[in-house]
Amino acid sequence: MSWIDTDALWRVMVASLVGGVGIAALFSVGLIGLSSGRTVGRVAGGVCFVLVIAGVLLGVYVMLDK
Amino acid sequence: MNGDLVLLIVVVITALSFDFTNGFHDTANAMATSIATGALKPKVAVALSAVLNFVGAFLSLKVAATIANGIVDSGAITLTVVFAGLVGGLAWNLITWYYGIPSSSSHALIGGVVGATLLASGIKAVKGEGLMSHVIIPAVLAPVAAIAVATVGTFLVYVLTRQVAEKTRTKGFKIGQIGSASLVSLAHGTNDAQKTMGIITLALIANGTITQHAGTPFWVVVCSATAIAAGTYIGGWRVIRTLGKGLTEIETPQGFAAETSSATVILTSTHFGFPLSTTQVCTGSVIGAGLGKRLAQVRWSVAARMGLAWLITLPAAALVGAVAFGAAHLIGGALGVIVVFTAAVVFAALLYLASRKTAVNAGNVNDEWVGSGTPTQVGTPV
Repeated sequence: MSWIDTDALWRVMVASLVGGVGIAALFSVGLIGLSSGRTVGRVAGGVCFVLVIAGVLLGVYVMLDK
Repeated sequence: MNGDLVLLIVVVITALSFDFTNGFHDTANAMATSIATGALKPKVAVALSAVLNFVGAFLSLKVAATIANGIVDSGAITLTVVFAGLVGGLAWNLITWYYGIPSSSSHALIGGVVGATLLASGIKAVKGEGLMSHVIIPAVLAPVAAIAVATVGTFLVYVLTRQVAEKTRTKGFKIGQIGSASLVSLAHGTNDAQKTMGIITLALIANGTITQHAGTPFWVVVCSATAIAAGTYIGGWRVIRTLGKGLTEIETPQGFAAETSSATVILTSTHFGFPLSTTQVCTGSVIGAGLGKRLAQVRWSVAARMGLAWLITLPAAALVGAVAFGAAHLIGGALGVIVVFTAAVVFAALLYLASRKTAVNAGNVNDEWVGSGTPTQVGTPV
């Protein structure tokens, strides 16, 4: 099938599922950590938010790289 | 002033007008959910989106001087074809805005160009395969991909944070939602403003004003960025209302999941070179956000109206593009183009006046959704 780039399509599907769901989940876990009231929870939450920010930076990089 | 220069000026003005409608038509993509959940005040949301669109337009300046690349034979592209294509896209953007339907500006533009090309050079100049792989298949896949990501994302977000205190949860997701919506706005600026830059550059090359390898003049970049940002700031309130209130009632966690889904689907498709329409992705994400929350209602009648509009985007814009080309060609020369341009301006003005009767603005954009859901029912809750 030349009119559909299945290779690119699969990559988009997998990457956006992993990325989109992953970032939403990380952010949620970050909120759990933040609201746990314990230091270890807050640190873990902080790590989650740092990972989310890394994801955002990756997104900006993709835009610049285009 | 000779005829060629008049034609060039009209094309540039039309391209910037298209860019402007592109802006206000697509404000909803990034900001509808943030406005609906109250994460941002309506005016603040459109202002933020406008600034990010402006900045986004400057982010990546590898402008391709093309229009409908890979879909229409590049030899068939004359200034009049570009002009007629823009008129087709413009008309479809304005009609769908009037009915409050989010629809792809890129697909409308491609439709317009295809219509004009069909009349100018015949069926041979249109590449059916390109149309299939660049427009039709992505149009089906974009909402599917976004619905999948947003549904799973929303479901997880609710499950994971069910123990988190309501106040923390709402505040946290508000911040997250604003962040992800900002990313969507930025991506929109880089993608869509560049299309206009490409069209104007193409017109300048065709007219011999600049050489093939001269690159895009800086004034073109500034004008395109300004036009899309101004359009975004005007705020396509009718479309914002449909996307934020019409499809489903959105809470902050859903808004966050929807915008995160939109941003990732758009950016991964950019990265892997599989062009997906921002509008269709964002609409799919909102539907997914409705599906992912248990017992949330998705108004399928509203979604069906959008689906129908997407189906006829290409032929409708093509028809207008063909008529615009036919009329301009028949009258001939610069005068033909000026007559068609004037007709387009009159059409836009009439539609704007008609929209005033059921005006949607920052004040009523979040009113309760009633009836079958056209903007005509705004402000009349049952």
